[in-house]
Amino acid sequence: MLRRQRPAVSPPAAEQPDAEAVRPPAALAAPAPSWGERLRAGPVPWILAAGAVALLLTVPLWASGYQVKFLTELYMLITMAAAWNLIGGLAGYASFGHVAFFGLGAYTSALTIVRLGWPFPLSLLAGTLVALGFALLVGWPILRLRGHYFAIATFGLAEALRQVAMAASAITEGGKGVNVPAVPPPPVLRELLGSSVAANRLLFYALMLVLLGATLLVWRWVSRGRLGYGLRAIRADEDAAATLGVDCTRYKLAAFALSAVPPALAGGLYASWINYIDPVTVFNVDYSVSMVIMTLLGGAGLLWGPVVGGVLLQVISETLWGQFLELHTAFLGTVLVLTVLFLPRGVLALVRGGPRRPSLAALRQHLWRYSV
Amino acid sequence: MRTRAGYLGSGLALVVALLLAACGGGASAPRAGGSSTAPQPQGTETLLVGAALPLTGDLAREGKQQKDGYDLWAETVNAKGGIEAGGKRYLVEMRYYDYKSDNTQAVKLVEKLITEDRAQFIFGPFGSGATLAASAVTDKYEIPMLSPSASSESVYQQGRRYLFGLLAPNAAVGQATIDLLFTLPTPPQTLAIISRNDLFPKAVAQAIESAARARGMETVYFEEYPIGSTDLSTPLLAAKARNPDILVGTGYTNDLVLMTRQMKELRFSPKATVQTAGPTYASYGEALGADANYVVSPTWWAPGSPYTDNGKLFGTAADYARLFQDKYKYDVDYIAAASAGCGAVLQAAIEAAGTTDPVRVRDALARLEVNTFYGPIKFNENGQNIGTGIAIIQIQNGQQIAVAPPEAATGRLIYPMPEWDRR
Amino acid sequence: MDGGLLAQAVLNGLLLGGIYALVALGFSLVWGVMNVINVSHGAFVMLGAFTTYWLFVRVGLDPFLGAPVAMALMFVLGYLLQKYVINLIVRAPMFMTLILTFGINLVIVNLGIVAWTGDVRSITTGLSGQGVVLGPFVVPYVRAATLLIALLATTALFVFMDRTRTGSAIRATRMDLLAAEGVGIRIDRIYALTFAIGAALAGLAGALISVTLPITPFMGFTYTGKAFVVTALGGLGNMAGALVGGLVLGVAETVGAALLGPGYQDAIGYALLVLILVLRPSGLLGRVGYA
Repeated sequence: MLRRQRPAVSPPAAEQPDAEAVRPPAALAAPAPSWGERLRAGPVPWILAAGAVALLLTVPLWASGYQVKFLTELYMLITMAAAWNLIGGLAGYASFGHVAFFGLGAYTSALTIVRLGWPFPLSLLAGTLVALGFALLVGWPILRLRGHYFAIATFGLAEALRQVAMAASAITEGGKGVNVPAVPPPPVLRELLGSSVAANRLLFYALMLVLLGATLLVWRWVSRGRLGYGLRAIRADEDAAATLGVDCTRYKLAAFALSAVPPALAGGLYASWINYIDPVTVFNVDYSVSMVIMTLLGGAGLLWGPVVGGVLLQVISETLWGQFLELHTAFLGTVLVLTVLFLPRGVLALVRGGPRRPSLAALRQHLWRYSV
Repeated sequence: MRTRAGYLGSGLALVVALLLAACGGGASAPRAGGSSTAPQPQGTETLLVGAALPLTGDLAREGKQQKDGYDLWAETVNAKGGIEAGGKRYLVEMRYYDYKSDNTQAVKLVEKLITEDRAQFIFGPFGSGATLAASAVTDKYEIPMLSPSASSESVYQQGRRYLFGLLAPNAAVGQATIDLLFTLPTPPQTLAIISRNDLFPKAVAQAIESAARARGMETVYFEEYPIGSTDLSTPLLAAKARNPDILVGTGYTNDLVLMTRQMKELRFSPKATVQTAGPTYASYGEALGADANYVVSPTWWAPGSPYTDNGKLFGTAADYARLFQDKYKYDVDYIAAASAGCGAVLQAAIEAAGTTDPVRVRDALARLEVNTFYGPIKFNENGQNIGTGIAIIQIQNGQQIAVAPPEAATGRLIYPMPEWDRR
Repeated sequence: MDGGLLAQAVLNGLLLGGIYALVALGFSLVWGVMNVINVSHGAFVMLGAFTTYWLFVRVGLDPFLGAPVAMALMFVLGYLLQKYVINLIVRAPMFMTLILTFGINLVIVNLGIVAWTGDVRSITTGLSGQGVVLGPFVVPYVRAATLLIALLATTALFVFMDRTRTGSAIRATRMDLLAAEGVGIRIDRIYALTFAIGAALAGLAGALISVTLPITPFMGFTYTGKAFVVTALGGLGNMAGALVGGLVLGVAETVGAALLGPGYQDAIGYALLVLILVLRPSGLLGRVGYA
């Protein structure tokens, strides 16, 4: 296996100090204003944003039941990805068991409704508190683990919870699953839309959309605050951050606990939206994987990363699955492989940083950055 | 600050554009699968029936069986000129989507079939859990759903008006099994139960236990193993230590193959082994070879079952089995039979209602009494078929031999079964 | 729970652990050397199992003779996959390779279902289920052979790593990529070779599983999960670790199930995993590594 000399490889990119981590926010506005800058600084973006939100809110009024369901599920997945982006994207701690919080939220909410007769909003709160408590409880020991070890510990926790939900039949009904009664929609909505089916559809659509919006706002708030800079410092070099006086444990724990809340709420909404949960479905490792994939596909550590990644992934898989009935997971797999190979930093990495003069050398450097 | 807002605005706008494209794309995407209809003769209309099936993932095999059953019905009925109702003829078109063995997707896709494809009727997904989840949607839209694979009573006890299931309730399975054992000269006294912790296997296990209790049998061991188990040695050893006359194992084919293999490894020889649902699949016998012998399995339908539709559609149960085998090159079992049975029942209900209006067809289904190749059909107030009895088979010399009910029996139950080292 | 039953549970656990150890051996090697969590490892186990199965059904080849063929095929497939696909992003952050192998896993499993349907299969030979009875205990031949082969494979891998030039190159690459490159080691080939060995070991595990347990095209995920747990238990990148971790997991599962009820059998493994990680992150065998 010995061979002639080749130019030495650069150190693994994973270990390169993260340029973004240390860049102050002002740097974003530093380049001289182009026409694009001027356009973006004007009222146009606000009009666009307002129009977009308004348009999204009216979807249930004109789209089909399936389209509304598709979007509701999409918002749910993006919400979870955006929550993952707090701990995975900002702090660089890749959790592969975030579905644990979704499952805890779903089970707590469902069981408090079914067994204790609690009202729906209260059950959501209960689910959130349980997930939050669990995150704080397990976060403290497992956040001391780094890299792979953290990843497998979270994966193991989620799997263990799934098995417990299955085995503790006396409380959870085990593999039989739990039937959750439908939430009666507010009378106003029912009268407005004419049927309780449509009202229910709109209710969950709107709730998921609000949850998604709130999660993004929280992410943005965290990202631009003290916590966000601390987390980025941890991602770049945890030991250095500690030397500089960042209380790493507290920062990580805060991010972890915060990232448990949106999935727990999504889980609670899910239980009353689908009306039936079982351990295999709500602790499905696919949810954990989809959070990671959506975030990475769009761009980890970026506000819009999970959104762009989530929309792309769902649109791709929807299209594929319409085209190839029995082979679509193979095609989805191929898409993932190609994406990881050719867009390793996410779709948004292509757009960010403005247009660069295209050159073969730059392209090659971009494509083979992680190869040996 | 304003630049930030710029990113926000542009981002949101981009996302909305993509989403709307997704919605449009979803609607105009080519149809997935389905048997195509021939050019329509004059005066016929199309009846669209939809089903979400697990065509990939863990349940791919079961999904394929259901699809083949549904397709065989659609082809057969179209070849006979379609369904006649209220002076019109309807040719059947099937439309399928794959829910990847994921209940959430099943629910979503049933909604897609109803709201986008405008399916007039729905055939069930696989299993009790997915059926239960999907029935929330069909009830919401008042579209009848016929299920060939959900037998657990709890699925039908949720007050769903539009759900109808062809499989007899699990209680009937328990009853038939215990009744058979009590036809023996010296009936067994004790049983041990090892059940997969899953809606359907657990429900069957409980049904057998309560039927046994009613006859004064004692359950000496009852434990559940988790879904996806790779080892059953511990529950088998614990059951063996209690020396039961009967071992009841419930789960799916891979669980039961594992169970039988490990029973042999551990030299566990009760007087009879009752397993469901797996031994009726050809793959169970192929995987275990001679070790599958003597296993007893209750089943909802067998090719030898004494049922006929009097030449209206498929003929007898045996005729259906032959037709299926010729077309798909594998042996039919109760799921594939009940799937085509769903079609036969839907057809009978539409003809009785004289219309394809979903609400009136639903009422016709509730009142229906009809003979099909799958068996006599009559739904109870929960929508579960109580007209068809349970058959019981025992594997003897690699063949599935019907041992009950007496009118369909092709052989006698071998009891007690020989111990492992005397085979 | 009486002593005899517990002893038999321990024995069954060790025999089960042999299978887990063999599954984890290649997984641990790849992870340790390249920092790649190969989610498609279970798919290679599945391919090995089906290769052996078809050789048995179509050609009548005994599964123990089919195993080397399965290993060779997986070796070639693994080499090509690493050389032309995974190597392209092997130095990216860990979760990228994870997603890459996740995608590969989807493709392999889906093609497996299309090719072979979702049917449950298993090889039943004259030896299946047979065993030697030692007093109150039963030791099935095939499971005992699997445990023995796991021991042999671990030893062989150890000798290969310790005594051959290629093995030294792999160890050097693992310890310091830049230095290894500096002394003229072709990293891409070393990586391809490592992955190929991992895949061949997965093929071997699959071949033995096909004689013991039911197989389906989607069986792999379960085994990838077990490999995760075993690797973390035994210690990452430690060859004896996979063996020790596998046996510990097997015994923990069967004994735990005997004490707490079979419902908790799989939960125990994962709980143990988290506990070990928290108390002793480097695994049971500590930081010995390939050095």
